[in-house]
This record gives sequence, C-alpha cells and structure tokens, in this order.
Amino acid sequence: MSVTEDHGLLGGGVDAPPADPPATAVPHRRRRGTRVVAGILLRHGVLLFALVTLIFLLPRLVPLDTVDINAGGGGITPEEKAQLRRHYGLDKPLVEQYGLYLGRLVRGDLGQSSSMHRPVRTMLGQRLPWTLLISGLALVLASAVSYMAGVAVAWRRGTRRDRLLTGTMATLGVIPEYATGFVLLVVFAVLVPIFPLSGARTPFTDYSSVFAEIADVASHLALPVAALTIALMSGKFLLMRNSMIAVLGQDYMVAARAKGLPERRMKYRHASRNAVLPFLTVLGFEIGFVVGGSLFVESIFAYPGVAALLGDAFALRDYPLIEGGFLLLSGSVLVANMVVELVYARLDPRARS
Amino acid sequence: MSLQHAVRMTATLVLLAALVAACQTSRIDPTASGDPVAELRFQASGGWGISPFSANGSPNPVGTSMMTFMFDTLTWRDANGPIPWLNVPSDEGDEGDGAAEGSRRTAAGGRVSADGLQYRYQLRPGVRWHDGQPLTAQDVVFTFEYMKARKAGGFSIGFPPPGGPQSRFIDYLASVRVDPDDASGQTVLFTLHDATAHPCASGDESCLLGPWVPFEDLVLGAVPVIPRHVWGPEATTNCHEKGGPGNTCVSDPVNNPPDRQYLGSGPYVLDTSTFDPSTLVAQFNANTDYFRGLPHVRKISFVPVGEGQNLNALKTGLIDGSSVGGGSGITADTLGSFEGFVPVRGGLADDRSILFNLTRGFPFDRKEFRQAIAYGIDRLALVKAFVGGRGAPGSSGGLSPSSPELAPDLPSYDLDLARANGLLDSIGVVDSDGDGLRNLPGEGCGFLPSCPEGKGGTKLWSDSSSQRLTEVVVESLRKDLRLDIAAFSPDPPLFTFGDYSMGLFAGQNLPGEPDQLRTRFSDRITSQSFPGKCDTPFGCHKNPPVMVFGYANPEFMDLADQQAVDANPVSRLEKLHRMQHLIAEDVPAVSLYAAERLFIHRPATVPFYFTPGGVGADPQGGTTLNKHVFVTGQRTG
Repeated sequence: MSVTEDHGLLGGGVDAPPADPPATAVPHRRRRGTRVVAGILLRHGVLLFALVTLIFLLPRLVPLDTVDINAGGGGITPEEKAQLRRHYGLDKPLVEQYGLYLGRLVRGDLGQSSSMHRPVRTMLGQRLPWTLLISGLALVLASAVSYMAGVAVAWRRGTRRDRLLTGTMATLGVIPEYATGFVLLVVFAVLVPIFPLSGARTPFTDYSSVFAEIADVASHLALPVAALTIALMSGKFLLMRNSMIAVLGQDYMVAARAKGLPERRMKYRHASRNAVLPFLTVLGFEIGFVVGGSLFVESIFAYPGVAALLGDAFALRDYPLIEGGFLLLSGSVLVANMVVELVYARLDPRARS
Repeated sequence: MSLQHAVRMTATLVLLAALVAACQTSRIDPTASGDPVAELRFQASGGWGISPFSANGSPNPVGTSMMTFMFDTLTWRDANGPIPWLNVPSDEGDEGDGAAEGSRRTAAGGRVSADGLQYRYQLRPGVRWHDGQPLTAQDVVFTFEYMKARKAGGFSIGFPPPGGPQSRFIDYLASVRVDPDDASGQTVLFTLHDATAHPCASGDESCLLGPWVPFEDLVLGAVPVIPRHVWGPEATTNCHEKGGPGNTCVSDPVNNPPDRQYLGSGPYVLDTSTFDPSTLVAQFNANTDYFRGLPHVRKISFVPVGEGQNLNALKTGLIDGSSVGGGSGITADTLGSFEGFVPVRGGLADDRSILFNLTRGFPFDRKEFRQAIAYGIDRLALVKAFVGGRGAPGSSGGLSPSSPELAPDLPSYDLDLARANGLLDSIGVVDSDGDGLRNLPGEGCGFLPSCPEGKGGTKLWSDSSSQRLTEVVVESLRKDLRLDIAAFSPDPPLFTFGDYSMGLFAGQNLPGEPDQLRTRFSDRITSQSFPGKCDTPFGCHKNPPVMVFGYANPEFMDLADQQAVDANPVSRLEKLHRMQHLIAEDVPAVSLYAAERLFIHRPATVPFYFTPGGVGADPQGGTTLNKHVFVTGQRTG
C-alpha cells in the first residue's frame, strides 16, 4: 500500500487518493515500476564500475608504486624490485593490468596483503562479520531509538520531555564516538568492571555451550555498540523529530484528528510513515559514516573488525589491503544506497514517477 | 516491595557480584621468587607476522619478540649483553684448533681466530626442534646459506623487504660450514670477508680494513635458526614449490601451514588453534623438551588491548606488563599511583633528529648553518612539550645519551639565539628580498599537489607521525632565526628516497651497536644491496635509507672504518669517542630529544629487565619481552 493510498483512509479529504485505476493501467504501472528498478540497478552498476576503476587507478596514478612504497626504503636491489613488480603484475601495460584486475575481481581475488602476506579476501572475510555485527547492531539500535523517540517527542513537542531529550541529543551529537567510547570504557570496564575492556570475545576460552559463547560475545559487544549507537542516534533523532513536526502540520493530519482516529494510528500509520522518508535517505548515506565511526570504536576496544584492519593497513602502507578494504566498504555503501533507493521508490510514488 | 525497588536491588546485587567476580579473576598470585609462573599476559599488536620469514625487520617489536619465543638464535643477550644460547661456551667445549692458534673467546662464548676472520661455535647437545628432530650444525649452516642466497638476489616473494639488520649485515659473511676438524659434527665455522671484500660507495677501493667486529652480536644473535628438514632440499614432503633461494623449498613460506611456519626450537610453542594472524592474538606454551629445561614461565599469552588502553588493561588485570607511551606524561617517579607495579626504565632511546642533506649545497653544506639550527632550537622545551619531561635533549655526538659508548664532554648546544643568528650572518644567510625572512634555497614538493604555504623556501620534511613536532620546530626557526622554512609532512613519506634538504626523523640515535655511527653518517657506507647508484627518479639513496647525505669528513670516515674492525674494546672506544666529537663539531644532524622508554610490570612474577641494544632482530630494543627472563626467571645467566 502506498503512502497516497494511506491518505485515502482519511476518507476523501485533502490528498485524497486517486480513483482506482482501470484494469489496463495495472500492467502499465507494473512496467513503469520495473523500469524504475532497472534504472536504479543500472545506475548503481555504472557507479560500481566507476568505483572499481577509480580504486584500480588511484594507486597507479602516483609515480611511486606499491613496491617503491613498501620496499624502496628498506634496502632492496633493483633486481629484487623488478621481481616484486613482476609478482604484482606492475610490469605489464596499464590496460592489461586493468583487465587482469577485473578478472581477479570476478573470481573474488583481491590480491595478497603486502604486510601480512595473506590473501586480502581471507583477511577481510574474517573481519567483516565483526564489523557487520557492531555497525549493523548500532545502526539498527540507533535507528529504532531515534525513530521512536523522534516520533514521541514530536507528538508532544514543546513539553519538558521534548526539550530535555532534544537538548540531550544535540549535546551527544557533538561528542565524537571515540570520546563516548572512552568514557563508557573507563566507567563500565575499569571503575565498575561489568563489561570486558577489549576484544570481541574472551581469548583462548573453551565455551561450555553455545549460549555461553553468545553471552560472552554479547558482553564484549555492549560497550562498542553503545558508543557507536550514541554517536549515530543524535542526528537521526533530530531529523525524525523535525520531519515529524512538519508532517503533523499537514492538512490531512488535521483532518485525521478531526475524524477522531486513534492516536496510535495517527502517529505511526499516517504521520511517521510520511516523515520517515528523509530518515531513510539519511540511513543510506550513514552506512559510510558508521564504518568511519567504527574505525575509532574498534581501535579503542581492540575489536577485530574491518575498520581496525584498515587502520593497520594504513599504518603499514599495505596498498593491496587498503584497496580491497575500500572496495568492500565503498561497495557496501553503494549497495546500501541502492537498497534505500529501491525502498524509497516503493514507499514514495513521486520517486517512481 | 515495589517493582522499582526490586529492580534497584537486583541491579545492585548484579553490580556487587560483578565486582567480586572481577576481584577473583586475577591469574597471578604473588609468588615467591623462583617459583614458576603459570601465565603472563601482554598486549597483542598486529603487524608483519611472527614467522622468521615475516617478522624480521618488522616495525612491530611485539611480533618480533613472539618469533624469538619460537625460534632460537645461535647467541643471545641478557641484561649484561651477549650470552651463549644454542652454543656451548667455549671454555666448556670447543676442542678445535682455534685455541691453539691464539684465538680468543667472544662475548657470547664462541671463538674467533686471531685474524678475526673465523668464528667457531659448538652447538649444545640435546637441542631439539618442536617436532622432536635434533637440531644440528647442518640446520645452522642451512639457515645462513639461505640468508646469503636470499641476499644475493634470490629474493623470495612473500618476504618483507630484507631491511632487517641481520639481512643487511649478512653481507659481511663469506661462508658458513660444519667444522671439518670437529669429529662430533656439531661445530659451525663462520668465515667473514676480509678487507678486500668491502667495496666503498665512492669506488672500488676497500673501506673496511678487516673483518667486521659486531658480527657475532648483530648477525649470530639475530638470525633465527630454521629447520633444514622442513625447508631444505631434502624436505620433499609438502615441498611443492621448488626454486626458493639456495635450492630450498622456501619460495612462499608465509603461506605454508602454521605447523610448518612456526616449527622452531625455541622455548615456547605456538598454540596454532587460537592464533589470529591478523591481530597476533596468540598463546605460547612452554616447550617441555627445551634444552635449558622447562621454562620458568609456563605460558605467555598476547591478548587484544585497545589503543591507549594499556594502563587500564594493567589495572583490570588483563595484562601483566606494558610499555608506557612517552606522550602519556607518566614518568618512573609518578608511577606511584600504580600501586603494586614495578617500573622498568629503558634508557633514552625514542629520538627525533633533524638530518641534513649536505649534497644540496649552500647553506646545508656549511657547518655554521647547521650549528645555528642546533643553537636556535629550545630542545628542553620540546622535551617538556612532546614527552612530558620524560626524556632529555639528544646527544650532539650521534649516539643515544644512554649509550655505554657515549663520549664525555660533548658540546650541549643549549639555546643561544644570539649565537645562532650571528652564525647565520657570518655565512651570508640573510634577508636579501626584504620579506623579513633569511633566504633559503627554494624546494619543491616533487609531484605532490599539496605544498605547504609560503614562498617556496626550504622545507623541513618529516613523516606524518612527527608532523606536530615539525610544525613547532619550523615555527621557532621562522620566529627566532627568521629562516624561510616550512613544515612538510607528506604521506607516504617520500624522504625515504633522500629527496630532502632537511628532514626530521624518528629512531636515529639508538642505544644499540655503536657501528651505527658509521652506517648512519659516513659517506662511504655501502652494501651489496646499495652500491650507491642513483637509480630512482628522486636521486641517490643508500642503506639505511633515512640518513645524513654527503657527510664526508675524511677523519670521521677513516675512524668509522677503523672502529668497525677493531677487536680491542679500549682502542675501539677511543675511536668512537673521537667520532662523536667530530659529529658534535660538524653537526650533520641535530638530535632534538630522546624520550625515556618506560615499562611497568606486575611484581612478583619475573624480574623484567630492559635489554640494552634490543633482542634478536629488534635493533631498537623497544621491549622488555626478552625470552631469557621467561626461560630462566633471572636477569642474567
């Protein structure tokens, strides 16, 4: 059911839904929907291709290649350099390198880490679940809390609770995630040690049961997720609140109130569903920020995620690993944006048109 | 009781239970001295890996230490210096003919021939690899032949650049073989290059006048012995990649299974089931078959600790020892707040220095200019600002202020702006264009698009880790000496190619082997890897890559070459002192400060100590993780 159809529930007021389309219009609308989906997929496909090309080209545009950077300062003969260049395929023409690079990508081969001498895909694969866990959970929690709180305080805007919550969120919004993480860590892992200080699980532990393992992972998850959630919550809360306030002033909400619809239905079915569109847009973009934020959080909590691995890769100038990590992360943001666009198109008929 | 009250009570009880549990989780009971220690924990730190094929030369001292737990070197170091390790002290064994020919005993218990060319070491009996195979002289020979083959151009993919000291210094080794005069077949004979085999950077003439003296300490004490039966030509099992250097199977060692990669003879065995190669979270169990007996510390674990959380990890009992960062402002005196912990001082080591490229001509090739820079910087203020007072201005002689070979009575170059400005005036470094700044030669930024603001004067290059310090130094030089200079900290740090007039670098004045004065300063230094060719688009570079360029004081260079082959400690020290005085006068580098390394440890475990000059392949010695103390539970012996 579309938003416009929701408005139809108001019974022919302002923004009343159009009359039921004729039978012949249904396949037409379906075709139009398919075209919209295909357009979104195509656009993101082109973007992905451009992204892959950029990631391939950037390190090759600077005069120093990965061999120069990693080996040039360490005492290595020209013959050894040439051997390394052959190994990395850097002795081949750029176009041929690009073809080989694409071929490897298709096979899922992201190359070999120059500092840790292991396949990049394996390394990222081992770390990705932890990053997905921490950032996914934080994003879900932050979204849920900010959505619920934003709707609630907008509904009762101007009250003491609204002022208190809005002020608190605005304050939390300017505190960087690593500062929040540090405070949480000192309070709940050092002064009152109810959560572990670091890591994703207790090292070298043989768990007695799956539940014990889940409990251990969850206890390690608590502080980093809390730090990231707090950092993510503020912007979304304020957005949801403002968006909701704007919707509440619409005529159809006045009409709904006049009809005596239950408050819960008005709040969540009519108002928040319309107010959530900008919220969703921001959510798509925010996935990139979540990864950026998790770099600091993973670092403080020694959480073994992709972001911490990329931090090490930067420190060690491990370009294959950096390239693979960037591809993974930027690809994830691209896919997330695509999903948001598809959802947006589903929710908002204007986007479909 | 209301629901709210019940929730509060429950929360309080949970909190108390957690506190009690936390108090009970301490793993280390205060044990009487001499009692074995069940487990010690330290911070894991990711890096280049922990196999001998990846950890050597790694910037990660923790990974290098882990490698030394699994792999032994021929000799080792304790709190006093070199000691025998795999070898029998010469007065106990070594019945070869060396003694009869006037050979002398080395610091680590080997024997060196009178001409200094041959080093002889008899292996201890009963040394075994972790798989139970005996460690033989053939293993030692194989290891060093492999190192030489790799160095000679058999560079093997999967290795880091051979930048570690042992790979640089392997050049000094001519050959290694099992001593044919020893009937047991357990004596190894190392033959060093004589004088004719040390080419200079400047030509074909020889620089060194004989065999290189620090060979035992820097090569034999650093190269991990690897098992021939795993990596050698006879290891046909799993040897699917023939063609490694020296006819070995070591063409891609770091991608071999852990049970091969980490099979050593050392006092600890890696628990491969819990090892995470990317974070280096690892657990090492004592080698029950170790030739020195069951190690004093039964288990050593490396656990994840967040960045900057070392002290919190210590307080909560997560780890038993840690380094204390120089920027923390914590000194050995203020560690009193860490009741129950013992500080270990590591000497003044973490140095920041300005190096000059004298090949850039005027004014960098004028000592008055370099002296003016030395006089123009308030180094005491830098010590206070950047290491919280935990350190001292660096020595003007080029060695660490903590170095045992530090020369007495070196000039201190205290802040003297009048003198600095006078020196600049005297050589004509003046403001000739009326912009209020003394003119310096312009310097571009290579191909980098972002150049520091200013009029294109000289730049003080540094890596990004020293960016703030570089900015402060430049600010003071512009303000106090009115020099047209700008800070520049590109990333990647392109200065590794020598493309700088002035560079601010870390890790210059190290407390280790004093031959570093030659390798860092002398214009003659070369190696087989770096014949001094200008084969990069950015100019010449040598080995080590970050160094003073163009310092060609003939007296210094002669002394540098002489001390490197002087086996007499007294006369060698005299030469080293004179070299430091020459450096102090010529100022090819200005050491800004040297921070004091500080470690804290839980007491009543083992008598932790800092090893002067580092251990194994860690020339910077940035650790107290010396396996000697974990094996013996003592500082020496």
